Amino acid sequence: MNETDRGRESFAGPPDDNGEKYIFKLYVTGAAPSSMRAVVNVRKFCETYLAGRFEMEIIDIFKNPQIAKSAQLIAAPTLIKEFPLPVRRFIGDMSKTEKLLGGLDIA
Amino acid sequence: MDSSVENIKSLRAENAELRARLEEAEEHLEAIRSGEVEALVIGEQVYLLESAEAASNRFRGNVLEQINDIVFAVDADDRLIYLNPPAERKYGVRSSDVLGEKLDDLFAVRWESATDESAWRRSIENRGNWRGENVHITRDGEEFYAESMIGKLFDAERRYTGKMAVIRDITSRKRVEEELRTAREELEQRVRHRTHELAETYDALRREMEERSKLEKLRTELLERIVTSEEEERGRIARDIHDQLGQRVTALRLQIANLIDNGVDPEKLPGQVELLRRTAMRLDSEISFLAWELRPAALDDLGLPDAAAAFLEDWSHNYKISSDFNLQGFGEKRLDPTMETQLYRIMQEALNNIAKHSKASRVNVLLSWNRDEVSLVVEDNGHGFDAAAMENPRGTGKGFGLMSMRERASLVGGKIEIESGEGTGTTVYARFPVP
Repeated sequence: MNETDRGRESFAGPPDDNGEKYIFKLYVTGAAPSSMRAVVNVRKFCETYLAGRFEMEIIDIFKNPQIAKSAQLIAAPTLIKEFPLPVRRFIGDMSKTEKLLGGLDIA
Repeated sequence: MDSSVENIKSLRAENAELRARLEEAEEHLEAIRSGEVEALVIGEQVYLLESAEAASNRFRGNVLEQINDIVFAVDADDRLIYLNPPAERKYGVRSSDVLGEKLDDLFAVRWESATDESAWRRSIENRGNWRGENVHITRDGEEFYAESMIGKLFDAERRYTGKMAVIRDITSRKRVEEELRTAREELEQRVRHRTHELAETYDALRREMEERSKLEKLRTELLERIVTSEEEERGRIARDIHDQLGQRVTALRLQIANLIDNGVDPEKLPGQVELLRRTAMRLDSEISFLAWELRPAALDDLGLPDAAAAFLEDWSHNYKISSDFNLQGFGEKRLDPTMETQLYRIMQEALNNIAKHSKASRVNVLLSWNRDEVSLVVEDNGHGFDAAAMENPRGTGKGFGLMSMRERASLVGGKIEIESGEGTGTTVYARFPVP
C-alpha cells in the first residue's frame, strides 16, 4: 500500500450538491481483530451515510511505521478525517455510529 | 474596533478547536481503557497491547504476505478483512480500496456444475471447510480456474468470526490437462481409424487371396482340360489320317494293283488313269487341309492379317460357308508372335464352333488395330445359342471352346465377350491391350 495513493474511482463517486467529498485515512495494525472490525465498520458507515462522496485509504502501520509517526498517531486503529476541515481523529473499532455521526458533523 | 472583533472570533475558533482536541483526547483515553485499541504508537515504534493474539496475528500476516497463493479473509458477514499481495494482483485491486467491502464485489463465481455449488455449501456447513475448483471472474472480466481451500474462522470462545480462503490459479494446469485430453482423444480417434483401416485392408487382402486361389484352381483345371483337348485333337487327326488318308491310299493301292493284275486294256486305260489321278488329287487336298489344320505356317511367313485371311478363305471353301474378311489399322506393323498365335487360334476356335454348331451361311471377320488395342470380331448368321448358359460349362462338357478362347485371351492379357441369342447369330469379340 502506498500512502500517497488515493482511493479507487469506485469510491470517488459523484460529489454531493456542495461538491464536498469526505477524505479518510484509517490506520490499522495488520489483520488484528479491532482493526478489521474498524475497517468493516467504517466501510459500512460510509456506504450508509456518505454513499458516493467519500474516499478512504487503509494504512497498515505494521508495514509503514514511519507513517504512524508522521501522522502523529498515538494508537491504532485510528480514523482521521482529513477533509472537510477541521481534521478529526477517531480511535477504536468505530462500532459507535452515533459518535461518528456527531464527530463528523453529519446531520 | 474591527481588529478587536476579528480577534474575538479567532479566539473563539481556537477555543472551539481546543475543546474538540480535548474531547478527542478524552475519547482516545476512553477507547484505550475500554480495550478497543490494540496498539500504541510512540515515534516509529508500534506497541501491541493484546499481546499473544495480536503478535500471532502479526506473525500470520507476515507469513500470508510472503506466500505465492491468493489469500483473503472475510468476517461473519462476508466482508473482506484481509487480502494478501497476490490476491490484490490477481483481482486487480488494492486492499486499501476493498477492505470492508462485501466479498461478492471482489469477484463472481462460475461453477462447472450445480452439484459442485451445493457440495461447497454442504461441506462448509457440515465440516467447516471445503476444497475444490471453480472459475473466478474478476471485476475486469478476467477469468481463471481457482483451486480453493476455504476454512471457517473462530475466536478464542469458539464463536464463528468469518472464513479464510487460500486459492491457487490453476488455469495453465487446466489448459495443459485440456490439451492432453484433446491430444489423447485425437490419438485414440486415429488409432480407431487406423485399426479400422487395417481390418478393412486385411479383409480386402483375404478376399483377394481367396479370389486368386479360386482363379488359380480354375486355371489349373483349364490347363488340364487344354492338355486333354490337345490329346483329343491329336487323336482326331490320327483318326482322320487313318480313316480318310488311309482309305484313299488303300483305294489308290487297289486301283494300281487292279491295273497290274488285269493287264492294260488300251480302251479302259484313260478312264483308269483318270480315276487314279482324281484319287491322288483328293489325297493331296486332304493332306494339305490336315497339315494346314495342324500348323499355320503362313503365320510365321505372312503375319497375322494375311495368314488369317488365307485361313478364312480355305475354311470358307472347305465348309462351304461364305465369308468376308476386313482389316483395319495394321499397316506394316507386326504384333508380338505369341499374341499373333493366340489371336489366330481364337479365330480358328470361333470358326470351328461355327462350322460345328451354328448352321450359318455367312461369316464376317474383322481384325483391327486401334492405337493401344487390337480386336478381333467374328460374326455369323447362324441360329445362335444361350450365351449365359454357356458361361458356366463345368460338368456339362459343353462350351469348352469358349473357355479355351478365354484362356488363350487371358494368357496375353486380353478379354473375350460373346453376344448370342437363339436365332440371332453369334458375335465373338476378342480385345487385347497392345503395349
